[in-house]
Amino acid sequence: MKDIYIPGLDEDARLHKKKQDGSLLREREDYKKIYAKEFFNVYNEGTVADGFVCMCRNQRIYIDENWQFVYFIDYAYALDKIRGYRFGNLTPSYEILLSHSLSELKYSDPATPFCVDYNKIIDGMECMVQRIIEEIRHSNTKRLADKIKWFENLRIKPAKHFEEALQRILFVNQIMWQTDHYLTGLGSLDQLLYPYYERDVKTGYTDEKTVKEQLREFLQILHQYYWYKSSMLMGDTGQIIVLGGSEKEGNYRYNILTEQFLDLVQELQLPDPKLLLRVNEKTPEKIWKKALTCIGTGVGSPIFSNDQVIIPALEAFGIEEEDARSYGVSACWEPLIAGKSVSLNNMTTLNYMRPMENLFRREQLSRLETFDEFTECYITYLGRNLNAVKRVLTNARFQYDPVLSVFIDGCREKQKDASWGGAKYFHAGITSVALGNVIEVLLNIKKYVYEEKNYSLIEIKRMILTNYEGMESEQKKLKSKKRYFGTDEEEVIQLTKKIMAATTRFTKDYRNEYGGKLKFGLSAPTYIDAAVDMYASFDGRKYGAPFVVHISNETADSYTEILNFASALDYGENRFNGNVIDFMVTPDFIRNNMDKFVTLMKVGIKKGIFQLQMNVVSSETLIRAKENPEAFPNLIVRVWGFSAFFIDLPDNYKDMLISRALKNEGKEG
Amino acid sequence: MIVRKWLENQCNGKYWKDYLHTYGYSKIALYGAGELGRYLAMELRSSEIKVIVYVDRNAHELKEVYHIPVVTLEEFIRTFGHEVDALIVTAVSADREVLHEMVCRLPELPVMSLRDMIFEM
Repeated sequence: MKDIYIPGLDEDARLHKKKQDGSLLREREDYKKIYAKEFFNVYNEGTVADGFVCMCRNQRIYIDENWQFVYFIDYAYALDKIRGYRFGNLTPSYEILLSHSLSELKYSDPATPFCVDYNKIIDGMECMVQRIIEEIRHSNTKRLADKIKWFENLRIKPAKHFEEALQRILFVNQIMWQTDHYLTGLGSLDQLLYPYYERDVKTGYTDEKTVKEQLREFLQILHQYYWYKSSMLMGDTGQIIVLGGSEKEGNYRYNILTEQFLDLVQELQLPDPKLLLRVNEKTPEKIWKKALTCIGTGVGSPIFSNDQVIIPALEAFGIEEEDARSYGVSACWEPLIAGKSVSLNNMTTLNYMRPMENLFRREQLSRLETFDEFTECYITYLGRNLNAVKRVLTNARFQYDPVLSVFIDGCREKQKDASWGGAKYFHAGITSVALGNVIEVLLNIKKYVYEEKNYSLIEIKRMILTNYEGMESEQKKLKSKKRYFGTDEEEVIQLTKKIMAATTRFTKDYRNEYGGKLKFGLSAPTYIDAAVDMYASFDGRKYGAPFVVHISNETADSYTEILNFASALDYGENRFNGNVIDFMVTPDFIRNNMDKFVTLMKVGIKKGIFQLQMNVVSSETLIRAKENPEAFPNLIVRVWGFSAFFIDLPDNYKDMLISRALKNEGKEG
Repeated sequence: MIVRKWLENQCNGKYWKDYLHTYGYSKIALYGAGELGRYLAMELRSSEIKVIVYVDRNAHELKEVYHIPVVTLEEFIRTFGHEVDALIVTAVSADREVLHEMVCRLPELPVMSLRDMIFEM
């Protein structure tokens, strides 16, 4: 990163620090009192649309003269008042502003309050565009005349050139962030931009090298405001670029831009924006190698997503074929139809351990005479827990959002806000955590209670609810044994499928107020947070200790074992809201086994894994980086479903990564 | 929050008697003779589920509530522990402490948290 010039990076670092110590918030409050009074009055007292117009009139316009493109966020003027459940974790339709001008989008005869507000949003953007043009005129910026032309065109005609399309994507993206739409995705950019690229190259307007330079800058620009865009953890920005895809007849779809994005992310070594590569059986060897070489550098990207499993699952759920074929994802892995869906894919987390804890607390355990009875009882408690989950979804109220509605297909046509069902898809998604631990607990109970009769259920209750008080040796024994979850033993697979099917049974009838259905997946960002207040479990996990990460098993004998396990699961019905295998791999392993690794991945895709991501780092590096952070400022790791600088993570996340790496390398029991 | 959820449940026709019936309980004890404990006993009054005893730190002052005896946790474990099907903790802050005590002293008895259950109904 030292060699890459990123304007505003010092400013970013300063603000990041201020965000951490709380002074940014205070500074912002002062700013409100002195400078932004009008804006906040209008926003607090008027409509969202009035606030947006006021923001566009007043926010700071910043033209960085070193960049070819214009991109800025004025955090002091961000629309951040929460009037219900915020929309976020979405990808707007950038295409709308590529294929239309602002003036074309306006209603000629706004008949409803929504249409009036919609036009106000367009007016606000036109005002901002005019202010940007004025600011460019008074600057010494690179490509001054081109920039003016791009912004003038934005008001009156669709985008024509590749570079103009990039500028428009940046414009929409900055509007999203400026209006507090957290975790804003970037969509399938290789597909979206390719027609512009193709035309420009054909006419001699641009060439491959120039385009690559522009994409490099585009990625660097999007990496700015890293601190502002980060949600729960530094790096959790949701800025995901989707690459590749599948044609109707199954052929793999990619282009020169797919390759350029992979090359550039590898070269830049920035954790954000991150990449998701859609793959299928026909993905060419060179794309696999490029992708694995990229991830082999430790940058955390791309995550791999299996079209052969995901597209059919989406279609079976009711997504139209063409939309399913163009799927992207929410911030991490949850499949999402970009620009057409306001499905919030991570509304809450199903904690599979909660029903297990409740079972031990509430059940008359002596009644459970067989393992099957115990499992059925767990499933009953799971159903009760899912009632609570569904209730959280039912009670969510969405904020009126005419800004997002401009960039979601369907809203303009239906004259309906995104929050009123204007979007084509309005499903609800939940993530889940701890299924790996629950499978472990169930199979341990089968073995130690019902088969070997080493313990009674009451003894186990005492172990877990007292945090193994006086039973430390049992805890150590359980913790150090090879784990079941993620192995390809038939019993493990069948039990996992049974719990997943039960989850479907309890959730498939759910409908939200717009008829949207409920989906879930086996990956969640909450494997540390959701465990904090949870009792110990009968897999050697102590009170508050983290749960298993996604679909992972560091004690498995081989990577093949976990691929076999994951591909044997059934991701149909509503079980497709992100199911990521999470590998820990040492850099040497990939470097020295590239061909074998490509084969391994291809086999996994063919067999039917859902998604896969990996941390390519050794335990030794992680330990040294924790002890001496200044020596490793640019070390990147994969957390949840994003990449982040190791230095930015809280200690418990660092410790978990170290522990997983040690186990993976066979250095920790 | 709990009272709001309770009201929401009632508006949606969800009652404690039906929920507790799914566990097969007929005799219960309530930990906490404060407002929530009293509301719960009132709601269950017309059902087949009987509140046998309250358990409360202030048992010596309260003696009984709605003709239901109030005892200390110690007395409960000694006298009533084997007479009831479950102990429902209505005093949210005491949940962990009570559970720990019960697991050590009377591990067979189910201990439920009103706060957790109210969302599941």
